[in-house]
Amino acid sequence: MHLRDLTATGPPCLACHTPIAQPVSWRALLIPDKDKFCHACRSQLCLLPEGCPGCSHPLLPQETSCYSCRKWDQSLHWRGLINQNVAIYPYNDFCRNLVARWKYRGDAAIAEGFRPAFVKAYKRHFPDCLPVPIPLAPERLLERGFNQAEQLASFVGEPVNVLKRPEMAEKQSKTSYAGRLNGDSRPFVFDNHREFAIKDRHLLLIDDIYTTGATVRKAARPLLEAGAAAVSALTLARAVKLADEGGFV
Amino acid sequence: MSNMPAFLAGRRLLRAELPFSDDELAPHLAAGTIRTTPGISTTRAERLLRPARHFCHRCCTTDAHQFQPFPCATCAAPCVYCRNCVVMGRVSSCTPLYTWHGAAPRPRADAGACAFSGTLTLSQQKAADAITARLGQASELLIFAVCGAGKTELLFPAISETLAAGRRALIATPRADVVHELLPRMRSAFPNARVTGLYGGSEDRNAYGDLVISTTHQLRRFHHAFHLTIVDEIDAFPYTFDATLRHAVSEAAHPSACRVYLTATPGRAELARMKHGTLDYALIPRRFHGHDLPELNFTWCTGWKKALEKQRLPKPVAAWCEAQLHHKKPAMMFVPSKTAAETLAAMLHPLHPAITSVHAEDPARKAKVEAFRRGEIPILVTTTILERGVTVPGANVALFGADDNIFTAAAIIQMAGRAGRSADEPDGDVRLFHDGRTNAMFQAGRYIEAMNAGTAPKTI
Repeated sequence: MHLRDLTATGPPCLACHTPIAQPVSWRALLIPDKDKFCHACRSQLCLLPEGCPGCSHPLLPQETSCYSCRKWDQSLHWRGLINQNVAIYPYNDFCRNLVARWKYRGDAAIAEGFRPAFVKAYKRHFPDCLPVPIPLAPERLLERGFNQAEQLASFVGEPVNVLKRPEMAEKQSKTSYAGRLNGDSRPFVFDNHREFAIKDRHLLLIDDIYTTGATVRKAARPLLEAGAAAVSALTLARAVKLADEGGFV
Repeated sequence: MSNMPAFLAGRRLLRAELPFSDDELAPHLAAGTIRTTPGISTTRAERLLRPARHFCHRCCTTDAHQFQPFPCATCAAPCVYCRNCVVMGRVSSCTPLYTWHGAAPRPRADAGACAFSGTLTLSQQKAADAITARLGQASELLIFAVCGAGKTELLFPAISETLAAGRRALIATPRADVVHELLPRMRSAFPNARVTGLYGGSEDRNAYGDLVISTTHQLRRFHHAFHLTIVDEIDAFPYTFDATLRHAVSEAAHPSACRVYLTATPGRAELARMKHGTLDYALIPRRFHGHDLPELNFTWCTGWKKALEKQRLPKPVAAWCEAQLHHKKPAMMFVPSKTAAETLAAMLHPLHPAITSVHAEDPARKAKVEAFRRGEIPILVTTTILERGVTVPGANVALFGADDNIFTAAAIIQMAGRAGRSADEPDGDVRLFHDGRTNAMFQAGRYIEAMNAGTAPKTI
């Protein structure tokens, strides 16, 4: 048996299942690293750099806001619905894989790996906001067994479930960019009995992925109509489009 | 629903895996032909230091790290799920597993008809008789046969008898490519039986099979289904490393099943059981063509590590490769690591432009192995991934850096087993380029000597 086998007896990495190796040091003995991902997986899950103030998308040097946020602001129908969206990770291949396992395969424990970064972002950007998770349609909730947004919201406080998603709308991730911008649909309704809970409060919508921003805007509308002072959004990942590419990656 | 028995018989499935409505299931649940068992059972926490322990009934894992709580939408109670088998659909405390307890479909009366017309060698026949003598009783048998002994053929009598008795048979293997290779052979040998092949993403997933050929992972969906279970290559990765896979095989077998294990290189546990007489075995020391196993040839190749670093081709290796090219013999060159494979292939490139390397992460791995089989690649430089399963008639084998730790005795035996496989060219050259002989090399040499003398080697 090698010394490194002794040090690699911690819990396995959430992503790759190999035991997480702790360095052989006094520091590691006294203050063990509580990271749920191993070093190799953590390095693939890089943080988004400071980007667009509206949605965290990376910016070109000369830009002050990204193309998609400018588009939203040009539309009278959509302008001003959310103050800002903060995203933590770029939605790259590694993140996509991890989120797919978490959401679609139902590996709920993966969310624990996102907790430290999520709590940190909440404390830094929205310390006094009420977390409102984006709800799932009832059919999808039964199929999946848990709401991933509610899981994230519970990391930063008691989730305020004031939104409902009545019938199975078409999956956002299966619709096109143009289809999502179609403003007529209202997939979310406000739960009428709980207006007191949000009156004049700053609400924070919690979701897993921000792709075009249509979901959080559609969810913000009923909240503002019900009397919320302002609505922002905190999402785990942001789909990133490079300037010379045609679509979201 | 008429196909419900065929779908469920011998299996243990999640509700989401059943293509039936609640209305269709309800009468069966009431009548007891379908029963449900909890997916995860949990022992009560006793003391502070002994927390609750969980057991997943599908993958049989007990590892505490694999059980995680989650906010379950179906039940309000504290719910844990098993991460070990979550890719097959989540099993949680509130998820029942469905099993069938009604009349099950049986193989047709003529399913056992075997179209294999060849004859077995004497030792093959002995092993086949040993299996058939144990059919119908809970028993174990290890078939200890050299590489190229014709292990598949000797299974035919036992499978035939099992199917004829109206019972199901299983061939399990840790590797999906073995399923692909065995499936057409079994289909042509048993034309009247329903033969299905199961691997990740296979199309037979939901079909009923009299004879099932499956990877060990897929067996987690079976329960008490087979009266004859045959596990091929019990010493192959990941079967030896993952106790839950061994559990899956034993759960798939009927309690009174005859369990047969095939291997050329039994592991330490099996050897110990054979020595103590708790595991019966049948020895097949000769290949089906009756010729000896090729002996190992040792060639000193001093400083091969440094030669690799300096990108210098050692002279004996160059001479051996040139001889292979000259005699137009296909050759496999096993190397200890991926970087060694790439460096050596690059150095051999001037000898012949088609020489290439292959390793586990190579995206073109399958295409390269196929090209080597067709004879388009004269020398294939490979890591240990090709130690099993690749059979090219008339091939010669070399191990570069045979004193490296990665070449265990079992690995050397398997690699040497690639040479001299066909009856037309039973002699093959097995050359070990080394920088000092290791125990593994001596053991592999003793194994081959013992087998050629017709006796079982004591250690591997």
